[in-house]
Order: sequence, then structure tokens, then C-alpha cells
Amino acid sequence: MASTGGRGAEVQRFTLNERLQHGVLMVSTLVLLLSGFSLLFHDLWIGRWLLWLEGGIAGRGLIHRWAAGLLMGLCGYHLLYILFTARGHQQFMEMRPRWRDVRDFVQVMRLNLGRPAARPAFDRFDYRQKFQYSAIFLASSTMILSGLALWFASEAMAVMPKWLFDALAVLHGGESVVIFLVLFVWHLYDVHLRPEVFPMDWSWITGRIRVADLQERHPMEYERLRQAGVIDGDAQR
Amino acid sequence: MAMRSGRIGCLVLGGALGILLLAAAAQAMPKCLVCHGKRTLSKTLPSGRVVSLFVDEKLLAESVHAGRVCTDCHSDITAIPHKGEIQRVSCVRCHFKGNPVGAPQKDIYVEYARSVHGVAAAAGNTKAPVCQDCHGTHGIRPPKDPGSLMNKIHIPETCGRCHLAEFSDYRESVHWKAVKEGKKDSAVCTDCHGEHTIRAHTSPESSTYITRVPETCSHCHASVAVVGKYGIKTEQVATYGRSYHGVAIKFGGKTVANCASCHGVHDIRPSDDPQSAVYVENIPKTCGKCHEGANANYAKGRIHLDPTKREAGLVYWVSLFFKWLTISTMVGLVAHIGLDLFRRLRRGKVAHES
Repeated sequence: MASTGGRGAEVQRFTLNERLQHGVLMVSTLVLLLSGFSLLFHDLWIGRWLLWLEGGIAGRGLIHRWAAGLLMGLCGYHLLYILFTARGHQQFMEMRPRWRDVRDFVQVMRLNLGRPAARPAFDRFDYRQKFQYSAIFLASSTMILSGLALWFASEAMAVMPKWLFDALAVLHGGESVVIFLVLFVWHLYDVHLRPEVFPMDWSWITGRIRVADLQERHPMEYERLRQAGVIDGDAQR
Repeated sequence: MAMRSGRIGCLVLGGALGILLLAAAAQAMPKCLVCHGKRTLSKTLPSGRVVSLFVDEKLLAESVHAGRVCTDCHSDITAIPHKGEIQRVSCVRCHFKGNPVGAPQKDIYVEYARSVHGVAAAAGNTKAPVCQDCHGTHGIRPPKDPGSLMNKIHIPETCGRCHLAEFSDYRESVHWKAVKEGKKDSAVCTDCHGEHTIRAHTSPESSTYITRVPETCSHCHASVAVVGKYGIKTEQVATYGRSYHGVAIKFGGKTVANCASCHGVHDIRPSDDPQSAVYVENIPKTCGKCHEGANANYAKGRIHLDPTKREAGLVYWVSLFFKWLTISTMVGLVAHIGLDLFRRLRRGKVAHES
């Protein structure tokens, strides 16, 4: 599996299927945020500009709903993927938060503050990646449910009082800002601005990671792959 | 010497002419009144309608036009008795900006010509009102005069002479109730529709056009100085503006509710009036005008909602939760990233020194 390219030996990290899932998630989330913020920030120039760009209030709604459909389709597919494919299921199990992750987080904080601590040995996904995946899981489900209520307002109002509907509307807007922050401040720092990946961690496109990077960032997985014979422990240096 | 006598001659002649004209003017009124002072003077229109031609001298004397004579306005009459068709008086003879006779210096006539009334009248609609239909004829008084057709208390009646259905609806409204009680801040027809600028409500230029209604109502209902005096909340305009209806209408949405969609148009009543469209039991029906199948759920919760106020209930708590979640997320992320960079910086320094 390990291949030698110009940038040193590499190993497969994400399948094409997973990369496409990530791509669809990225596009739909971006469009949803932009077409949502035009409504949320309608009294700021940025909101008015976005609204103009999206063809006014009607065009904005149409774009938002199409992107929502795309996201819902993706989420449905992803659920099937983690439930019914061996690869998907295995990846999902790797993503599960464990107590280890809390310990890893505390250790990283101690290190960052200059306290003595051992460098945590991350597995396939470190605590940040697990946290971000869980956050997306939670955010997508609540945004989809509240969004569906807003989309099918008449149907929703047939079964829920107005105060609940209003609360869902406020939740939908409030949560979008938190999602935006997590993605644009944290995730983009992690995959673009962190010095070891700058200007970009290419694995989301190529699906591969350099064996040296794997050993540095995911030592436990590296060790497992080496013992399984997937990586030749000496060849890649 | 000759020049001097010429000048004197001119003066004498001019003076004599002036006196003659004044005399003629003084004469004009009584002369007309020889016939028009008779209460029984009338004519029969081809339609069979009998129109009184009696002119009450007192009316004119107490009007803003006191001191004018008949022929100042009825300028097509040059002989007595007059013959043929008498033209309708054209007010614009004096009422234009720059007039030298002391009429108000306004181009109101131009505004009127662009209004729905003016356009219809110019197109030959004989039912369309001209100046006299609203302002009256011989007895025009200033709008502040309680006897004026243009006085706030009389405007609904004045408009209602043609707009009967609207007048009868309006008389049921809280606005009329307040005007009758002497609250002159309350709205009559012209406060919402405009005066000389009146457009059809289907015209985007109209102050009652679907997307412009919120702005029109806000002139009073967003003003503490106007409605605040009577204990009416002014935040309703702002809360509407933040609602989906308000945002959509601001950006040209024509299928969303404006103030009038829920509160009614001419017969707006207070929300605690069981006949009001926004009375709690009538809310399903009112929302049902647009939201098919609206039920009692629509009345469970506030309509004009301010998420930053505790009285908003669950909405307040959700809004508060996300406010603090946003702040703490921001702080947490910046700290996390900052610490990461801080360590790298220090490590880099150590590596550099060693």
C-alpha cells in the first residue's frame, strides 16, 4: 500500500468515497452558511451583499433549500456508510470518543503551557479530529431537524406551538454561528495554518499521508500499520 | 415742462383707472348676488338633478378667500347676465409656487396631477375628485379650523363621501375612536394614504403599497413621541423588522405579511377587542389567510417577539444559551490555537538557541 512519491513514502489515509463525502459536506455547508447568513445578518452590509448575490430573498431561500437537500442526502448516505460497510463501520469506531482523548487533551494543554508532560501518542484520529467529527454529527442533526421545521412551517405549526417553532428558529440561527466559528477558526487553522501543514494538508484531496507525517501525528496507527506489514518501517526514511 | 405735465397726466390717468377697477371689484359681488343671492336659484342638469346656484356671501367672507371677488375665480365671466357654459374654477390660477397674490407658495397642484385622483381626472373620469371635491368651494377654511373639511376630525367624512365602504370600516377602528376622543395624533385617511400624493395601493409609489406599509405605520408606531404618549409599545415595529416577515418584505418579498395583513386595514381594532383580527381567538383565522390549516398553535406564543427579553420565554433562554456558547467557543478556540502557537514559538526559540 505504501508508495514512494516525490515527497517521500506515502500511505492511503482516506478512500475516494470518503474524500467525496467530505467534498459534498464542505460545499453544502459553505452554501448553507452563506445563504443562511444573508438572512441572519440582513442588517449588515455583508448580509445585504450576500442577499443581492443570491438573487434576493426568494433566490436565497431556494439556494438554501437545495444545499439543505444535498446535506441531508449526504448525511443519509453517511449513516448507511458507517452502518453497512466494513470500512465505514471501522472508521466510525475509530472516531468514537474515549477517556484517552480527555487525557490526551490535558497532556497537550500541559505541554503547550510549558509544563512537563509526555507527548500523547495519538491513534488514527486525535482528540481534535474526534471532537470536530462529533460536533459535525450533533450540529448536522440539530440543524437538519430545526431546518426541516422551518422549511415545512405549516406542517410543523400543525403539531407544535408557536413558542417552540420560534425557539427552533432562534436555535437554527444561533447554532449556525457556532458552526461557522468551529469550522473557520478551528478546522481551517488545523488543516491550513498550522505550521506543519501550511499552506494545506493535502490528504483531503490526494487521500494519502506521508509515512513520516503519520509517524509524527498518529504514532499509534503508524505502529499498528508497521506491525501489520502495511508500512515498511525502514524504507520510508 | 411738457414732460412734467405728461407725468402728472399719467398719474392722474393711472389713479382714475385704479379707482375705477376698485369700484368695479366692489361692485362685482353685489351684482352677482342679485341673482345668486337668492336661495331659490337653481338649475336642472340634463340628468334631471337639480343643483342649487345660491351663494352664501357669509361663507366666502369667513373663508380663507375673504376679500376675493367672484370673478377672481370665475374668470370666464365677463358680462352680466353670463351666457353659455361656465367653466369649472381652476385653482392653479393662483395656487402655484411663485404666485404674486398671497396664496401658499407650494406646487401642490403638480403633486395632485400625479396622484391617482389627478391622473383619473385628467383621463376624463368625471367621478375623480378635483380640488373642490375635497376642499369645498366658497367656504374653504384653513385645515386647523374645526369647521374645515380638511380638519382632522372631518377628513374621514370628506373622503367617505366617495369611499363609502372604507369610511364605514374606518368608523369601527381604534384610530377613529381616538380621533373622536380628541387624540389628534391618531390616524385619519391622509395620515396613511397621503394628501395630494395619494396613489393606488397597487402602485409601488404608494405609501400603502404592500412593501411600504411597515414604513408607513412606523411613522407613528415607532415613535415614542407619538404613540408612546398613549402607552402603546413602539418596539412592535422593530420586532416585526427582525421577524421573517419583516426581513422578507424589506428585501422586496410580496408574499409575506405586513402590518395590515394581520391587524386589518381600515377597521384596525385593539388586540383585546373580540372583533379584532389579532384577538387571541381570531389568530388562527387571521394566520390562515396565508398559512393554510392554521390552528390554535399559532396563538400559543408571542407574535412580536424580542429574543433578548425574558418575556419571550423559551426563545429567550435558547437565544441566551447560544450567545454564551458563541462567546465561549470563540474564547476556547482562540485560547487553544494561541497555546498551540505559543508552544511552537517557544520550541522554535529553544531550537534556535541550541
